[in-house]
Amino acid sequence: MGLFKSIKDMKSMVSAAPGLLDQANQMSANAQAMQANAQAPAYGPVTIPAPAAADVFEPIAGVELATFAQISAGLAQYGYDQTKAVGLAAAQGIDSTSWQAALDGWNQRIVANPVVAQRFNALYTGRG
Amino acid sequence: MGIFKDYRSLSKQSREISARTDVGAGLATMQAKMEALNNSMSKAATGRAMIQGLGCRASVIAARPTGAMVNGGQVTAVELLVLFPGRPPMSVNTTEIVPQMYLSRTVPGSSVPVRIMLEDPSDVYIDWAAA
Repeated sequence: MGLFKSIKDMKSMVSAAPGLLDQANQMSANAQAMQANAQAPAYGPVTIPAPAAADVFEPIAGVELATFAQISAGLAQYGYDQTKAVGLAAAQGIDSTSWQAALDGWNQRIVANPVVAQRFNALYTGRG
Repeated sequence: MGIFKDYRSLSKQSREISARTDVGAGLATMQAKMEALNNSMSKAATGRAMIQGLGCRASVIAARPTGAMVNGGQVTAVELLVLFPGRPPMSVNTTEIVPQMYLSRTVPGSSVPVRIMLEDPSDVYIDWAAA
């Protein structure tokens, strides 16, 4: 009969691999634990040991990094139209010459120093 | 008898597995993950940024594995600071299939070449293979 054949098959399986289900359970638990670890921020925003001197955060042409980030982020509302940057800077009391000097200077520091880039990004995204 | 002992053992283990497994919830989670993955891949699949995007470099701010693998690559949520000559930097979040051999390039502080659509900065292509 089919029922007895099934039971016989089960017995054969248990005999052949007595710990199969236990092993499967253990593997499932391990996989879930590993998945949980993998979803933790493996490379989260880090504080890179600052090789930078403190003066990399000194204002450029009177423009603080926070102000530069705020103006940069403000361009999003204009579809990142760069021509609006001077207007946004003017609203902060920054003339076009100072804005250009700040733009060039801060860009240079951000490219050269990941610490400045991390800080700018935190300010830009409102996490600073 | 041995047969009935084995039968009871298997039945008990089956009940334990069933009790711990919520098949409906598991399938729902899987579907949500696949939907998110498909959404994240939809722009990359068009190849628009790769062909038409403005070429520049970006600094990796953060990277987080999502736990999914596609074509052997790790699906990774990447936060970038895109650096343009003569323009303010732009913070961009994207989800990328990172080939195993380039995972080291996702370390914060790494500089990677990118192509980005300025009118839609979420459409960004990272050229992992380029220097």
